[in-house]
Amino acid sequence: MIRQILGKGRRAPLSVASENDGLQEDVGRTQPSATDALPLIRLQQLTKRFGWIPALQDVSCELHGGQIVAILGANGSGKSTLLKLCAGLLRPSEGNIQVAGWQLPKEAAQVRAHIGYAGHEIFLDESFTIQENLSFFAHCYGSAGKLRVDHSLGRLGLAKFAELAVRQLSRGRQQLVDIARATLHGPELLLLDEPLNHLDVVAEDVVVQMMKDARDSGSLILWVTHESSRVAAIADRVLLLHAGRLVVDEAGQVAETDWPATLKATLCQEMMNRSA
Amino acid sequence: MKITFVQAVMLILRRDLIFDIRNRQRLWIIFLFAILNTFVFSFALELQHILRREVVVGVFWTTILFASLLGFERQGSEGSRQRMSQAIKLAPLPRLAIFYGQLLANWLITLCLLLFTVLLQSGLFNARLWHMDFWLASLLGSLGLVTIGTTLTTMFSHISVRVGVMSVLLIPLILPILLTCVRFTLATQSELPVRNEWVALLVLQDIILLILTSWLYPHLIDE
Amino acid sequence: MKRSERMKAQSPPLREHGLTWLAIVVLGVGFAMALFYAETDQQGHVQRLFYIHMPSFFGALLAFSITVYASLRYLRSRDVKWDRLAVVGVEVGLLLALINLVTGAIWARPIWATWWNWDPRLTWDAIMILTYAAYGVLRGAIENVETRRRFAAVYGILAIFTAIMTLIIIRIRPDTMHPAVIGPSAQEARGSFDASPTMQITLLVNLLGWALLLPIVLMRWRYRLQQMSERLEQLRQQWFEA
Repeated sequence: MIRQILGKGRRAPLSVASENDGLQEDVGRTQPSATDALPLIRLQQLTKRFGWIPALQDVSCELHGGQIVAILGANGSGKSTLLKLCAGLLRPSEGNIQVAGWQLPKEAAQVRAHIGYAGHEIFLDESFTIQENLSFFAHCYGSAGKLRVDHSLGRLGLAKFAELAVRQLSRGRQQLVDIARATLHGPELLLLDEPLNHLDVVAEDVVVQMMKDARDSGSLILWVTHESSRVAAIADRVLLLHAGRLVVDEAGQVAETDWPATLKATLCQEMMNRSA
Repeated sequence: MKITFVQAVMLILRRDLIFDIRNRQRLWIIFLFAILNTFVFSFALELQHILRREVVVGVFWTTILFASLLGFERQGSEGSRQRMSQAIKLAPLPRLAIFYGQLLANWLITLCLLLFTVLLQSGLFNARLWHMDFWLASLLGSLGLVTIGTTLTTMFSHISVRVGVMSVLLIPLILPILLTCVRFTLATQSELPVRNEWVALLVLQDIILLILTSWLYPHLIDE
Repeated sequence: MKRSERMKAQSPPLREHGLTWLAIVVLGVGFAMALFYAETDQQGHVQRLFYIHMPSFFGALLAFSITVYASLRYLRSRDVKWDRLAVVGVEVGLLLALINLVTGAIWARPIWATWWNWDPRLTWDAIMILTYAAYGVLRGAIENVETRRRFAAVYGILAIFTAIMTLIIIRIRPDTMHPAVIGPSAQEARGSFDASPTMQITLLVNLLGWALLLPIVLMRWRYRLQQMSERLEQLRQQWFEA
């Protein structure tokens, strides 16, 4: 099903690398073409309320594989909520959300293996080592294999810290390990909530390169960020949220747009509209 | 390669046991409390002077209940465990496998607690707690206890005001099992043959609880 | 909209009032029958408490059963109205269960020479009350509204376990002192009596009042109150958000 959604020319869904196999994710990458595939995510009038407060209101769009989609917005605009809805962690109050044709969260069990999520909190056991944490999750996703864990750590520059307990790491390194956890199984849908927070410039570049590599191999990356200045160089599409509504959905002029200025102007305009 | 149900159960069981053994805090709390509780009841009821079989049985099961309760409270409030629960929710593991893995881990720890408390109180009170019927009561009773405890621990991690809430939730649900365990254990202590209705009642309670909690657990873990 | 029209739109429908008056009449008639119509048993006038004691237990069971049903429906549909109904069921059920317990204690004092004796039936009844009282504690301890509703639904279903055990245990334990109304009493039971025709009719009327009409009427009114309270909370939150 995932293969059908991603269309022709995509890499095959990531299969498990055993101890003796080479890692398959480096094989067979082709340039994705987002337009000829069915959408990987379809949002239809998606609304989420916490109590009576709407966090997301009437959001509709279709997102395809082979893209990095940046989600911008002010604090409290619903960015993290949108990500959690796509991960199946929250249930929509109204509307529909489909991932690879499966309805979330009712049919989330069908797609969990293809989703990777890294949020604000570190989803790791602090008393376990990095190696132990990642091995555990590798087993959870049926991707057990020391090679895979080692490759994941090596890619993010954490190989030499493998035997350290998570609590012994700095916040930035914990963040990197959490990203490694989210990408361990090579998900077709990668949801990253402000992944560049707490990272130094070298680590930021490593994570950005990892996102681009995932994009090139056909994955869809939803990237929530406050770093609007970097969006033009990285993202293929931009969604701008304000007060839970989708106010900007830009795919054509991403690289040419001054996103910090656009964000500011949009927020000011929205605030003026509300006060009028 | 998709993980099987049994593999998922064993994965969660192993992780939980390693976590508890490595962190030890929860285990210390449980076992130390068992000792302290024994002393409290010994002084409060003057058991050194009045060694009544019924009282010792009651002290035993009360110790198990309160020590387990502390353990569940601790489990529910550990931040690391809460964060890991979120990550496990994201993983493609069958929900019931997560539940049974956690339940088995809690059950193993509770059985260790039972063994420890039997040794302790048999020695301190010179009580006859060692025999097959008693172990049967312990096995069945502890299963009911951890079934409810594991279910409530999942709830507990989402509750903002934690102090005392677990006790208020858990104790009423566990009282039927406690009552039956005490009566069964008392029956095993007497010279009369153990009535099958106590075993049947314990088994019935365990079955009802396992069915109910198995059906309800996915609603707890998923929105 | 004029104020009078708004008030009319918000006032309860006629059937609400009709049902309430019916309940009041039936309860009144039942009370009068219990005092003046039913024969006096050899236990004395204290036996008349039975016409409230037993029906209120079944009223509580009805309310708790509605809680279970509403909780199941909520988990299926996540419709707020089912959560509202579940809350209301617990509150009314608790009230009736407490009435059952208190009337039982008042009856037990002269008959058993004690207010309370840890009889299996009494004990399990008290456990059931404690379990449902914890339901309120659980709801108050969870901030997130959706999580609160979901967990309360789960707990509301789990709690029926104690109600089931209450019904089962009295059939299994032969050493209860509590007399049985349906079926023969246990050998050790004290306080059982043979119901004469007048007693049976009085019991039926009070069953109609306490076990059926009163819980339904109380729940309907409480449901409206809960609905208005939630609407007020919604307006308050939206005002702050704006």
